[in-house]
Amino acid sequence: MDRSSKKFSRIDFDIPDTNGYEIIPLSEDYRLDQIHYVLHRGFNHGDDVDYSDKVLEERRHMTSSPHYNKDYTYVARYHVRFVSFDNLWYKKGTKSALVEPVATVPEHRRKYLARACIYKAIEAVRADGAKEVFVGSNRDVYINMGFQPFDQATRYTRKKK
Amino acid sequence: MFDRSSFEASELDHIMLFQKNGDIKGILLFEDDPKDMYFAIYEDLEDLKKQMIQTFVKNHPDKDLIIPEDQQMAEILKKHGFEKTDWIDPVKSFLE
Repeated sequence: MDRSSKKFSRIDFDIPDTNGYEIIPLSEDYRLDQIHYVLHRGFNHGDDVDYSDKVLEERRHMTSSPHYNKDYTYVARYHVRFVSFDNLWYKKGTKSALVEPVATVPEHRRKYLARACIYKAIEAVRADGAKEVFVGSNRDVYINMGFQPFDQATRYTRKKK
Repeated sequence: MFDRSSFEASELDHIMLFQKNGDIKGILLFEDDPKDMYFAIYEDLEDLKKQMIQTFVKNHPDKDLIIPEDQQMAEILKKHGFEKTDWIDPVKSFLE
């Protein structure tokens, strides 16, 4: 890996060691049941996962968006299971990408899987022209990855009369 | 964004675009539900900001609005009777 070209990160752009886990783009292994499994469990919706046709059709529909690109989603695969799901939104020809969503199954957390997936996805969008990547989060995990504070969105409400 | 199965095409009318000479300069949009809060995304033009807030107040008098760090926009909102809440969504960047 040519580190001299790694201006993108201020800290470290090395893909962490994910021994035993495969870090692959979703385009390489697109399985609706696994997408649903990792998002359901990764977002703490419980251990019982519903694989009904209705639920899987919702996942197919969700990933059918015109600007959704499976090459910018990376998953950590453990045996046949997806255990981390990390997506970047990016449209070729533009300069900005957005990290969303990021989800890791509870028993597979703290193994740098999300970092590995996000770095891989950043490499993919960089190769296609992205100059900057944003994430809406205050979590230290992103600071530790090399993200820097940029801005904040604030909610305004009408004063009660 | 992901294509959410709960999204209704009829709700597109709630998304407001602000254009000049065919270019989009600003947008007011909701995330999941048009009955919930809205986001303002815009170029840094004072007249545009004023117009966007006037339009927002007229069309969504009881809705909250989320804006980036922008003192000018905050002042405009204040004049229209808005106040800042504790709800803050930080944004981090990874830059070349």
